[in-house]
Amino acid sequence: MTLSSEDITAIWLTLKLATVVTLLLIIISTPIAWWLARTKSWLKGPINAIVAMPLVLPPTVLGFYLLIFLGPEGPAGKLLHNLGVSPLPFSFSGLVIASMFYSLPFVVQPIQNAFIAMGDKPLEAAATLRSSPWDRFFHIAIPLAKPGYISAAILGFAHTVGEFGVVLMIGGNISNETRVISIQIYDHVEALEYDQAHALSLLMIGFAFIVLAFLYSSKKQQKNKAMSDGVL
Amino acid sequence: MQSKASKETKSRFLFRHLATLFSLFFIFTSTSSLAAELNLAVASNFISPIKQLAADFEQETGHSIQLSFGSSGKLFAQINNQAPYDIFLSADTTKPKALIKKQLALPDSFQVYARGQLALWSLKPLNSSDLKQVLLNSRRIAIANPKLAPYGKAAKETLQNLTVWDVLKKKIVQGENIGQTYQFVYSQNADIGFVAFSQVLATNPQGWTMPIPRSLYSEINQAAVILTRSKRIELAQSFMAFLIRPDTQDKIATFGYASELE
Repeated sequence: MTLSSEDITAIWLTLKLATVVTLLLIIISTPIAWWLARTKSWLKGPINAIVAMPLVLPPTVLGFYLLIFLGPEGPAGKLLHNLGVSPLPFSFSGLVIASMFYSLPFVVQPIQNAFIAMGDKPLEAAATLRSSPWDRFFHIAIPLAKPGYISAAILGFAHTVGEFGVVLMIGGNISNETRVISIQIYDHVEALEYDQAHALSLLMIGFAFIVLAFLYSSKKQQKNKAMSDGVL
Repeated sequence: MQSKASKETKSRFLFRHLATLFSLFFIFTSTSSLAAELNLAVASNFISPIKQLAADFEQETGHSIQLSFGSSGKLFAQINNQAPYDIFLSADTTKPKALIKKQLALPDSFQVYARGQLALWSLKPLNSSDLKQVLLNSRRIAIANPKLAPYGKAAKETLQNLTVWDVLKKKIVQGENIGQTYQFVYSQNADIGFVAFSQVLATNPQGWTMPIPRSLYSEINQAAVILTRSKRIELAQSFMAFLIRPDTQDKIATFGYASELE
């Protein structure tokens, strides 16, 4: 079982996509998670629901509407066209946007849980010591939520690597632009190239196992450490 | 005395009902053993014609037909893993041939049942009547994956025969199959696309269609085989005979396929 150069291209493209998506999602998810963890607004329920929707929707639904929404006749497509941006479907940027929708709950939820778990006390204590809101956020909230951020990054990355349905719908199967590993495997299976399908699939299984094993063992360690530190 | 009589009528009543039940049961089981069921694995591009043909065959013979749809590659993988189909209607000839080689299909059952026709389709008016010019003027061209879909391979051959493949390569987006290619044009993410003429006929969309001359691509033959595992080989054979009967072929042609017998 050897990987062809096309397979290698697909692997690099997938890693690039997952890295870009994870970084962007962490930036975007932080304010969303913070707001969701703190707010008492009635909007909390609906916003939580919107964030979690990709968990229950088939990726084909997302892909189908993104194709229409971002297409030249769709609202976003028309707007982007007027701004001079080239159409997003069939491009790497299009995949980044689609994957961000798709992996959003996997990044927001761990961060949100970490913010909730830390409670109000550390922030209130800092406030009585005249720490500014920004100071409290960057020097207390973020460090305390670090385990949540690690989980979020790992899950967001892994989930994007495993993406299939959305890319199939809006990708256009272009080498080095939108042909990620999952699509390449699909191509191999359909073309009856089962050896190559095996090689890539086994690679994915190994990757998934390592990522999840790392995630679960590090969670356990964090818990032990937190307990010995007397935090939890 | 009275109670004995009522008991007697009761048991007679029960017996009579049981007898009717038994005879009904017998009738049902006997008819269902007469009318067998045929399981067909059919390539997705042939969905609308086969639905019509299956209904016709059911009416003609009283046997029932179960249809399963999927891409030819997926159905092939299922058959490799013992899926309980009697007949496989592929979108190409390579997969039926491969099944014969693996002794999963009966060699003498191989039969081309339809021939696909390629068409160029656009929602906006075509800006030239010359095929090559239309292609060169386009912004984005959708084709089915040439590696997987026979229509994609035909589209690639067409572009190569027009000597524009290298020039237009960057404008090409690939759908996984002909259905997705259609969707790319339908959502106007591609301004033109190479689709199956049968799709355009079946959906009767707005827009402009240009048939591709048959000289520009090699034949898109779709072949069927009877699977070795089938327990109703005789019935399967009669369906294959039905499939290539001239009147059936005429019906297939109305769905946008070239008749195999022409």
